[in-house]
Amino acid sequence: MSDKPEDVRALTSQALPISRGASSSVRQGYSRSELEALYALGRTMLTSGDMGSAERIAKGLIGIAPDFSPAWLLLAYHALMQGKHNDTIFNARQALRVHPACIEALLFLVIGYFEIEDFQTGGTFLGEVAELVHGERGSPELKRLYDSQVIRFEERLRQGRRKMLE
Amino acid sequence: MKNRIEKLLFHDESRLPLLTLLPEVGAVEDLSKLRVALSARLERVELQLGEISAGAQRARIADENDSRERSEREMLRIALNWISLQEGEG
Repeated sequence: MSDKPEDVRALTSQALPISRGASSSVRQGYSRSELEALYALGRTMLTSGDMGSAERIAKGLIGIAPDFSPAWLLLAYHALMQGKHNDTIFNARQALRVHPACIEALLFLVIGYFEIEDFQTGGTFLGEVAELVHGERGSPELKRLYDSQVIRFEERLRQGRRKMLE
Repeated sequence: MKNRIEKLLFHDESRLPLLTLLPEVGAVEDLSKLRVALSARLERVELQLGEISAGAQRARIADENDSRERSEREMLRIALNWISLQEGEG
C-alpha cells in the first residue's frame, strides 16, 4: 500500500460488506456512508498515532453497528499494537463472523496466533488466506504480508525439525 | 512497542505496514455535511442519556443501553472534535 497523506479525502471503497442482517443492527438509522466515514476517521487517527481516539471510534461503531466488519478490524489492529493478542484474535473473529472471506481478518488471526506461539492454528488460517490472497481481492500489499507470514511459519517449522534432530 | 512491531513484520527486517490490514473503506467527501449529521446524532444520544439518568429505575437492560449510548456519544464527540480541527486548518 502506498503511503497516503494523512488528510481525509475521497477513497475508493472496497467492497467490505455489512451483512444482510446488519440493517436491523444499525441503530438509529446511521447510513452506510456515515459508518464508513466514521471508520475512515478512525483509520486516519490510527495513522496519525492517536490510538486512543481510534479505539473509541471503533468501540462506538461496534455499539451502533456490530455487523460493520471494518470496525472490528480497527479494534484488532489497536489490540495488536498494544500487544493484546487474545483481543486481536477475538476482534478478528468477530470481523470474520460478518465477513467469512475477509483476508484482513484472517491475517490478523494468523499474526495473533503466531504471537501467542500457536503456530498450528495460525498455520491453518494461513492456508485459508492462501486461497483468497491470490484471487482478485488480494492486493499486492496483502500478498506481501501473507508471504512474510509464510516465511515466518516455515522458519518455525525448520526450528522444530532442528530441535527434533538434536 | 516498536521492537514488537518489527518482530511481527518480517524475518528479514524489511518493512511492511500492518496498516495494510485496515482496508480503505468509504470516503469523507464533505466534512461540513458530516459534521451536521453527526452533530444531530450527538444531540439525540445526549437527550437519550439524559432521559435514562432522569429515569426512576435503572434496570440491568437500561444499564447496557446506557453503556452503548455512552460509547456512541464518546465516538461522536471525538469525531466532531477532529472534524472541527480539520475545518479550522482548511
